Amino acid sequence: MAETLYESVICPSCGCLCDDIDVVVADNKVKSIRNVCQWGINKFFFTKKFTSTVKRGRVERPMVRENNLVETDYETAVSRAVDILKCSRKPLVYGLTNSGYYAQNVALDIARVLKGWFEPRKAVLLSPYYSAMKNSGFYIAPLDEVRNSADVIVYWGCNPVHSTPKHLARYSLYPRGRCKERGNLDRVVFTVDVAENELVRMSRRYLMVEPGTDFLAMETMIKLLKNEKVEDYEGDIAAIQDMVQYMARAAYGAIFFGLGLSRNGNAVRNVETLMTLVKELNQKTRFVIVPLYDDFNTNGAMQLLLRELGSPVPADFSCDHPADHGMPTLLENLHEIDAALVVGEDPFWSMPSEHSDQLKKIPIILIDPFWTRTTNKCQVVFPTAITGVEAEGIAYRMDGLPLKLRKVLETDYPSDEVILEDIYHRLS
Amino acid sequence: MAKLSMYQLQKYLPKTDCKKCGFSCLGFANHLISRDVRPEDCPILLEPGYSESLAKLNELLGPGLDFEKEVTGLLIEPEKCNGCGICVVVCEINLEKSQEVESGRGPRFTDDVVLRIDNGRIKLVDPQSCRRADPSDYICRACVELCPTKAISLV
Repeated sequence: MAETLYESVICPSCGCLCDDIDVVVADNKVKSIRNVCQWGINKFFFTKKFTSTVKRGRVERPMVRENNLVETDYETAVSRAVDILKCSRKPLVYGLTNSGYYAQNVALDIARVLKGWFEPRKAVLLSPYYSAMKNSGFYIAPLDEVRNSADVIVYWGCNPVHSTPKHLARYSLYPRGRCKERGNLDRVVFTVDVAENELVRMSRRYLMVEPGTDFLAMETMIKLLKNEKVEDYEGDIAAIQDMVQYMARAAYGAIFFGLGLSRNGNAVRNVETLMTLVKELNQKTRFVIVPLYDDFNTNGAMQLLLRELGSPVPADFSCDHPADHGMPTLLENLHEIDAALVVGEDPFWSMPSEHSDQLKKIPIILIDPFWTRTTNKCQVVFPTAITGVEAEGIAYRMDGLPLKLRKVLETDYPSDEVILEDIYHRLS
Repeated sequence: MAKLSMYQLQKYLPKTDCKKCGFSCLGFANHLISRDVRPEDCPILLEPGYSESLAKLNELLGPGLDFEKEVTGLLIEPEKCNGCGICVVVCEINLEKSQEVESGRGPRFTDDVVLRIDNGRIKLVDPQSCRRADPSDYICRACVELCPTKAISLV
């Protein structure tokens, strides 16, 4: 059987969107793959994340619930989904971080037509980040610029070894840049987290913080930068002083932050204070701040919200001003929802049980290539092609750069964009 | 292959520290791990009462080192690797052989490199070109020291 080599394929796994993947395809199956991490490989071999020997079960045909889930044809499944959504007063459109930008756009249109709630996954972290830019300023740069110039790198509330495995080698610490010709020897790394991780060994200093109290450390840093007295901080003040000294003297610095900042519901305060710290640092030197997240197109959903509604918060179209409703999170308003359209996400795995129990009471329409914990609790299930492997799409990298995902395998499954468009046309 | 410890091997040695082999028993165990000596080099182990210990040591040490381990001394445990590619980027021979590696990208498909990520795990593709294979060169430990998951160690 003839083998086809696809060079420089973009990996649709995490927010890094590495563009150096070489895939060899034979007989419409991936035979071998190079330069891909343990996370990326699960997308191409349809295996479990970080466990490449365990295959994931693929949803073969559309299913609707009678007493149990029964297989049906595509048209029947679309009609059933449209009926459920039409009968709903305020449906939820959720997930979408593993879909292409155009699919997200159609999903937003569905929420708009139905006067529902549109919430991408991980909005809890990225919404405060983009909101805080209004007050603090726009301190972001392409990752290639970080690679070329950064000499101080801070990882705050994240562990790239697990969440974005190739980030360290590809964009931040180890690659050689135009102004950093010795790679990691020319850079200094600081880690701030609630527990020691693999990154600590590579770091100059590790600052341990109590969960959810990162803002106290950030406020102390801001005071030190302003040459104010610090008396009330109870943590590792020596590490903070060392960090501030290095950060203030840096020629170019980068802060990467992750979901650790959203602990104990303090995401907004933590991220806003971090942005203030970056603003303060930019009085002295050049510092940028970039979020680290796991699903590859989380940033795409945020860019969509900013472009369509002018605000990065989840949209509630039942209000007159969908982007200005004063309701920051979905979890607080889940009781208002009476149907859900979930795309490429497993809420029964990712949400806390007290919140996912709310979802058990309402009909769910699921668009997902694999069997998940959510599948058995749905009214309608659509199998779909995997964006970036079996379907093309646009994805936004963590620094906001749009990249076109290629397809390397042929499939009969429709892409999530096609399914969402069919539902949208029937609704409108 | 799991990494052996010298205390694990010392349990099966005579523990007399007679130094007939030139080392103490613990030192002999250390040299067994680096494959500088074989269990048969201990004269006491060749005596009839130690035949079981000798068999166990040969079983633990296996048939001998693979070619790549013998040349480079690198012990790679792919099951620990998460494919982060740090070793690929810091390897100086990789940097010489592939322009892509310098900017943090993986080597191109046709590049002839020492280390590459193959199917999500690290693979030593050309042990002969590794800097450790040349005894006259300085001892390079970059990939061993910088691996975050400790998937690469020295025998």
